Amino acid sequence: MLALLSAYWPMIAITFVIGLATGRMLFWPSRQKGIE
Amino acid sequence: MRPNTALAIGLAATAASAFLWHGPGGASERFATRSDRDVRQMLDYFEMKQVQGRMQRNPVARRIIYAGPADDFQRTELVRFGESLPGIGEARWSRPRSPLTYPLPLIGEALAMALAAFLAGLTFAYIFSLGRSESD
Repeated sequence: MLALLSAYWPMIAITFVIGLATGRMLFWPSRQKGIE
Repeated sequence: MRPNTALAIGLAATAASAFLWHGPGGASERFATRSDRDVRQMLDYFEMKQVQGRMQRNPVARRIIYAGPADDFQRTELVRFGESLPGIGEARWSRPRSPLTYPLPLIGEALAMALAAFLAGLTFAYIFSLGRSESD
């Protein structure tokens, strides 16, 4: 399994960041809303 | 942006990353080439020069397929040793009839890893958002 992870770790890192960015859009309250 | 749209874009970007890294990025071919080399080294170590062991292609899977002359004992032991190589899920002497047997084609496993990483990122963002809303 480690051999597979070593070949695919950049993809895993990228998709983790995509998940973080998506979660930020979904869960974090927007500043615009706070100003309003 | 609506939540469903954000989720759909995130999932699409995840799937695209998996496909691009697997195919045009060359990850599957690099993995298969390295495993081919490991198998060749193992066969050379056992002085079985006439036996060929190659990673499955079309589709690429973590499966070694042997060919060549070997007796029953050698066949059994080569399967055992092949499956102990790093990253190999199965070793056998003939191609399986169905591609939907373990190990699945590598693109499926890559997609599963990408989805797992996406969900981990989503979970982290959720946990951070809890901390953020408490501190506000």
